[in-house]
Amino acid sequence: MRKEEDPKKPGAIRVENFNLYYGNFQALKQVNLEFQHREVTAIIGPSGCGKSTLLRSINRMNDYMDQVRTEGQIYHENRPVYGPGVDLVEHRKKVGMVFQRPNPFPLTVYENVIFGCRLHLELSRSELDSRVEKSLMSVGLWEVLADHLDQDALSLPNEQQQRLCIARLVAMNPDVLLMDEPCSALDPIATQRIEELIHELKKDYTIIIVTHNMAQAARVSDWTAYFYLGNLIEFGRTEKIFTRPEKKETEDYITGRFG
Amino acid sequence: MRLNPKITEKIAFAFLFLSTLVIVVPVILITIELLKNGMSVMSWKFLTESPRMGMRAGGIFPAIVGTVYLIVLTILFALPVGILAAIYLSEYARDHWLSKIIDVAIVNLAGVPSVVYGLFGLGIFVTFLNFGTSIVAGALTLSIMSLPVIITSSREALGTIPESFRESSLALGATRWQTIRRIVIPNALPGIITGAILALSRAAGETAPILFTVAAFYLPHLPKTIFDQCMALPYHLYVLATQVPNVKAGVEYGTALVLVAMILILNLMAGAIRSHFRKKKQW
Ligand SMILES: Nc1ncnc2c1ncn2[C@@H]1O[C@H](COP(=O)(O)OP(=O)(O)O)[C@@H](O)[C@H]1O
Ligand SMILES: [Mg+2]
Repeated sequence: MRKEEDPKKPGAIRVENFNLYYGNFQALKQVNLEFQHREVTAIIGPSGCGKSTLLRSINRMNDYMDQVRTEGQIYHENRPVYGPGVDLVEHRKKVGMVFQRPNPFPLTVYENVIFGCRLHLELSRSELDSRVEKSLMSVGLWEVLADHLDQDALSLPNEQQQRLCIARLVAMNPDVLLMDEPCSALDPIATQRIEELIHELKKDYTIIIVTHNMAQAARVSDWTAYFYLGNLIEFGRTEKIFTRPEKKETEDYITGRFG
Repeated sequence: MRLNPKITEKIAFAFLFLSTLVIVVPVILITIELLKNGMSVMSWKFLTESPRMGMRAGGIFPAIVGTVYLIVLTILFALPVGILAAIYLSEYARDHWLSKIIDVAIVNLAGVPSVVYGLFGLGIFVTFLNFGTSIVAGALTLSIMSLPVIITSSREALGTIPESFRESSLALGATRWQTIRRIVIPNALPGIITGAILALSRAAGETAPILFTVAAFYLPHLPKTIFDQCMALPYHLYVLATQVPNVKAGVEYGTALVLVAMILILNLMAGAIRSHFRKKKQW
């Protein structure tokens, strides 16, 4: 399924022959896909095609649903994500997820940022302080919130909440960021600023972003994967997918003939 | 025939208003009655002295103390168990067949008459576990009676915590228990406590469950340990009303007034906790 255009290093995340079933319904069908280090991959496709399901599979958020069954394997840095002996906590520290709706905890800004650190690390107050500063800095919130660290995170505007959710991940030094339609609850200006942030973050993190916004995929991503009804239809360089797609279905979707 | 909407509106309003009156008027009348007849005996002495002359005079201090003991001990037993059971049922065993059976059991237990709990307490705590007629036996019986209500209201409180909080905590590598302890419980606690207090305030006024398990007809001294019997306000009231001839009328009403006041205080506490946290809550 993968079209090699340029020689690639082994990816940060590799999905191999992956199937996922919700009960009898197969939501992902024999997916093979590789996500490159420190590049942005956009996952696009009509609603219900399995974009969120794939993203959730990568950090195993589907574990908590009844009746979910998977086949195949996903590798993170060549280590399997599914199977006995996988340390889920360790995995999720490295592979963080940003959700569709900003969902900070009903805690202060400070406590939100270090929530993960408090769980996994024994850090002194000053180490925590510096993590908070660094993380907020990297999502562009430090200037705004440096003097409001005690503010209730739920009182922030939507865009800042979403940035805070990213900062919360960044604080744990992950290497992959999964984003499920991170801008869908934001206005156009906030969306643009988050896109700029994604551009910044790409220097340090491998990013996989689900979006139903074609223009956004074209703007932020290096690679694009087009899904339809649980099948990976086409995967390749974003500029190629958007200018010379190989498959008729991809072209139809991108040009807005359906979806 | 079609009625004019303005007229139906008036009729609907009248019925709704009357129904409300039906609820409110008895409450007001009871309060007035209690105050009118009970205030005459109300005094510092009434609250702090033991009954005298075969309970026809003196105060009700031992009964107040006994009821406070029972409430406190019932909280200590029922609250932790109720909260932990609710957490297990709604956070861990959500769609498990066991939790469905327990659901049905809880709903039915909540409808069991309190005298049945009294007999159960007599059989299990007083006789089988050999606690004797004692404060522990009574408090355990009241706990068992309150548990279905506490569990149900705690589960409701847990259910108000948005799924997204749990999800994002798990996604940050928290275990289920860490998620429950750091996110779910702190946010559900006000609701849990409010429900628990309301359940306990109901238990505090019950006579039947303590009748066979703890309540003393007359005890001039205070209990020394939780394995002693004690007097309690609801039972004392029952005794005054049915077993002791020629009680000064005010004594009964005064006792009832104190009991109602204690329950009212509990309910006000629950209300205060609820409104305090409702103001803070933002989701
Ligand atoms: N928990 C679930 N149980 C059953 N079916 C589900 C569940 N979640 C998603 N699905 C189904 O799986 C398919 C893919 O869903 P999803 O991954 O959310 O799509 P997308 O994010 O691309 O809109 C849809 O048909 C959806 O109805
Ligand atoms: Mg989705």
